[in-house]
Amino acid sequence: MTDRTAYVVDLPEDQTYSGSAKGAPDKGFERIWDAPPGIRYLSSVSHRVVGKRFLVTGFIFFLIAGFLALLVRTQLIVPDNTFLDSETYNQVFTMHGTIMMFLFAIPMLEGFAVHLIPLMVGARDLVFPRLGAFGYYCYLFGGIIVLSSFVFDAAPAGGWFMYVPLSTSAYTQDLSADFWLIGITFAEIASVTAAVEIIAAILCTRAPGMSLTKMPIFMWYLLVTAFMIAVGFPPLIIGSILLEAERLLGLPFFDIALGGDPLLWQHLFWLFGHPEVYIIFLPAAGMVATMLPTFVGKPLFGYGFAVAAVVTMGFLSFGLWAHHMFATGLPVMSLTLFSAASTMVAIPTGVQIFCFLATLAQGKPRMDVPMLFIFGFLFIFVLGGLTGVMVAAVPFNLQAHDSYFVVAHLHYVLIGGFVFPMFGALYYWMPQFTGRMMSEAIGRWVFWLMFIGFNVTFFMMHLTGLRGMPRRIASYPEGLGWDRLNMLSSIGSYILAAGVVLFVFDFFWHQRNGLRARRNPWGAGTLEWLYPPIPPGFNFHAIPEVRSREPLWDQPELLDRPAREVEGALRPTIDHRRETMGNDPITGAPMQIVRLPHPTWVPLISAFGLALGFGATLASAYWLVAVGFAIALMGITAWVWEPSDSGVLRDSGLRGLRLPVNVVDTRSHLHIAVVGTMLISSALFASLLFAGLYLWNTQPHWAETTPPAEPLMAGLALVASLAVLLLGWASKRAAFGAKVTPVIAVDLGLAVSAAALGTLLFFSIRAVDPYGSAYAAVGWSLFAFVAGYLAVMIYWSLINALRKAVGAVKPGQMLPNLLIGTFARVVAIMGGATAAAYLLAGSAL
Amino acid sequence: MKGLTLGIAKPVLLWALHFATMYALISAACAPRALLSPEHLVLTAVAITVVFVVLQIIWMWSAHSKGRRPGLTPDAFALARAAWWSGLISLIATIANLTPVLILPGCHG
Ligand code: HEM
Ligand SMILES: [Cu+2]
Repeated sequence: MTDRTAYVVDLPEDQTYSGSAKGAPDKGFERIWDAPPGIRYLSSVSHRVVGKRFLVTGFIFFLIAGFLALLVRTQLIVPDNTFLDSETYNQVFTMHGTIMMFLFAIPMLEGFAVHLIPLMVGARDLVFPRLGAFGYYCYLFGGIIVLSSFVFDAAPAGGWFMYVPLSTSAYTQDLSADFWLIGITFAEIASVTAAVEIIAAILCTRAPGMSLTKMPIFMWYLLVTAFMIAVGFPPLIIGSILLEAERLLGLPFFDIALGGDPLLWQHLFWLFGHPEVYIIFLPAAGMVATMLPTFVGKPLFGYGFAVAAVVTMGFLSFGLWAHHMFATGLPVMSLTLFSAASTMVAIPTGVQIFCFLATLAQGKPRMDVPMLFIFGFLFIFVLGGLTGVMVAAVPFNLQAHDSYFVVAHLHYVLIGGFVFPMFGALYYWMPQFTGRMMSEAIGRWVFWLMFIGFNVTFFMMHLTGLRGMPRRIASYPEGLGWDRLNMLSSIGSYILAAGVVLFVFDFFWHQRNGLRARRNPWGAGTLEWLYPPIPPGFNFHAIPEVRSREPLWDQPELLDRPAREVEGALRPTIDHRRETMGNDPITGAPMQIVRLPHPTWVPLISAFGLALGFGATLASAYWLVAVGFAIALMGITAWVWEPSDSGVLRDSGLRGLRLPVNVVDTRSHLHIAVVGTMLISSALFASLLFAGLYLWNTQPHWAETTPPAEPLMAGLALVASLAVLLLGWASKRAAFGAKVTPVIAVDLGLAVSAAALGTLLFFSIRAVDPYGSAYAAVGWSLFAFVAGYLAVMIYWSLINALRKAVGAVKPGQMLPNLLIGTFARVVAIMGGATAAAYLLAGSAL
Repeated sequence: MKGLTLGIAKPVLLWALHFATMYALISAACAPRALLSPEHLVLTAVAITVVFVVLQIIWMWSAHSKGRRPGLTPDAFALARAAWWSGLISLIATIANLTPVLILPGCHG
């Protein structure tokens, strides 16, 4: 036993043990996985159900936003049109962009990820089914909040990037900006939870033998995307919270008169906004990389190149954000830095496109409908990339800025890079969702209508842009040379819309009349096609061992017999529980048996509580806010108060290999999830620090006149953060031991030291007036942020202590101590950094 | 295997660090606070870049030699190839980060 693997008990199979409830002994495998009937369907947490919810909801938002786009095009079809007044026009294009970016593209890719990851890596469900369900409900409620602004006649009208000062209360007095900020932030919770879920699912629940390089390439794309979400969304979350705090509480973060800076908002927004474009594009490219080999009949060319390209694209795309700020008067030298990085990102993108083309060159592709969409993607996206290189050059950018050229470019990239692959993917994977094939004949019409309509609409916009037409204008006078081009663009958009409508028709039609899909209908090589795609409620009777990147092509034992008879792990259901295999993240060797939850209402209740809290903030009903958050807290407590089965060895069904259930190990899925969560938290914290540093650097006068924090208290806080750090380390050590009761001291110590750290930080900044300057307000937000984490830590460590005190924890079940150990150490660093920042800001620097 | 896997991320992480450093240096020199003089900016940026570039080259070389070890599994080979390419892309991008400081006469062009 190494020091990383904990205490376990080896029990014979027929011996029961305490811990979480075991399933009913008469339930067979399929009954265990049955979706609950009737209204209780809403309590289902299975990835198939949640994935479909994401896809359907996302597509509905696509239709709504598409309809808004048609309104825009209809308004612009002739000069001096009066179809929409200019206020409505502003609302319509703002909501179009907002819904497309936040409520369609991201959730749609989450839907594909949630549905496909377990099937492709050989798991029976996502690792955290409840988290997935919770994320979905957050997204749904957030989307409803944003949409409901139409009902209150307060639809946001400030553009999808909500620039200040336009979006501050001085210039947007109604609630429209609040709807945007609150609804979108809420929907973003779904995205960051999905990121944690995707990372842990891909790293920790793969089929036996599936090493990192035997994963389907799509998994690499999703893994990189998930890390990007984890780092890229926090700046916007922080930005939105600061802006909402300015609107609601009057804190002057962006107020010039008090040392704030509107450009700070732009930085935070685009720190998110540019990576967002890649977050949308990468999974779509991953789908292309998955479908292409199927239609060519050869493996993807250069798996290693593709992996390198995806990873580098993920990183480089974070160095581009200020190319959206070329016209703001930033120093030319910074602009050139961003321009350089913007050009560099073309290299990995090119490597990747090269992999696709080389794969195509290996054989003659079958021209089925998904393949048509792949060609559409290649054609449109490459053009979008070319105009991208054009606008990355500062001089050209200054010419094209805020013109229709940019609108053309962004739609070439987004529609070419996301919508076309996504429609291809819908045609390709539809049998997984409905068990039937969509129509080839109608599909061709859909493709050609969309392809022609798209190019007519958006190619013209390059020209209107070069002829000087600005974006976001509700009408234009006759005779500027824009009339015919706009007419064509509008007609094109109707053709494009006809294609989408035809797709919707095909969808409903195929549900009744589509051919029933055969097993592996496209002849693919990846694991999701192992079973005949008549959507069952379960994934794998036995989880097969994987020895190849295209198991269905290279492992004949998988397809030469009915899928349910394929051999593999976990065929016996000894404890009648939902479970799947857990693996070593890198080698794919089996490491543990992961217990999965059964249907539960907890995610819905928690998300509802949060929605109530957020919604009530809009209505300024603060008692209701409290009620909502109390409900959420109760839901989440019920969620984590689950008896644990960890520490028991059971038969894995794989050649007599015995594996621990939910092992206490740093490679365990839960620990990986905590690491992911702390990555997100660090990004949130770093965004706040960035805000402080930015103001310190650009508004030196205000940094000097803001009174300093109390140095003695800040020094003591630094010491307290050291104590938290040490106790976190002790908690981690204790998790691997066999002793239980003595560890209560560590739990209580964590709670006490966290309380001390919070108190000392409070006394350090108490004398500083948060309304005095933006700089001071950022100081207070650092405190509030760390205090929030400390509160969680106190609550959590008290629960841990309580569970030990009432005897709910057996030796070998100390996973929570491992988790809080990691959590505490990161929080200690954030607390220490805050104290250090107070000390430095107060010194003579 | 673990080393090879990290080998893919290492070079781009280094690029990210380099990018952040360049951004910080330029911001320090060009913002109202003007912490750095133009000469110091160029000197520091060049010195830091040289160190980073050397490190990138060493890592690429190491990925290259790992990829040629006899008896390599296809898994390990794919990882080594990915690491080498990731290194090459990061190397070029690291050098690109330095260009603004070198080619522009001052903060405002
Ligand atoms: C379905 C076909 C689509 C059409 C006909 C269309 C049309 C338009 C038009 C005409 C504008 C410019 C409005 C103006 O500046 O006055 C616009 C803006 C925009 N579109 Fe689309 N679009 C479509 C799809 C999409 C998709 C799929 C996405 C993203 C995934 C998207 C994202 C955006 C964004 C972010 C803006 C900027 C909004 C703003 O200025 O605040 N669009 N669209
Ligand atoms: Cu960008």
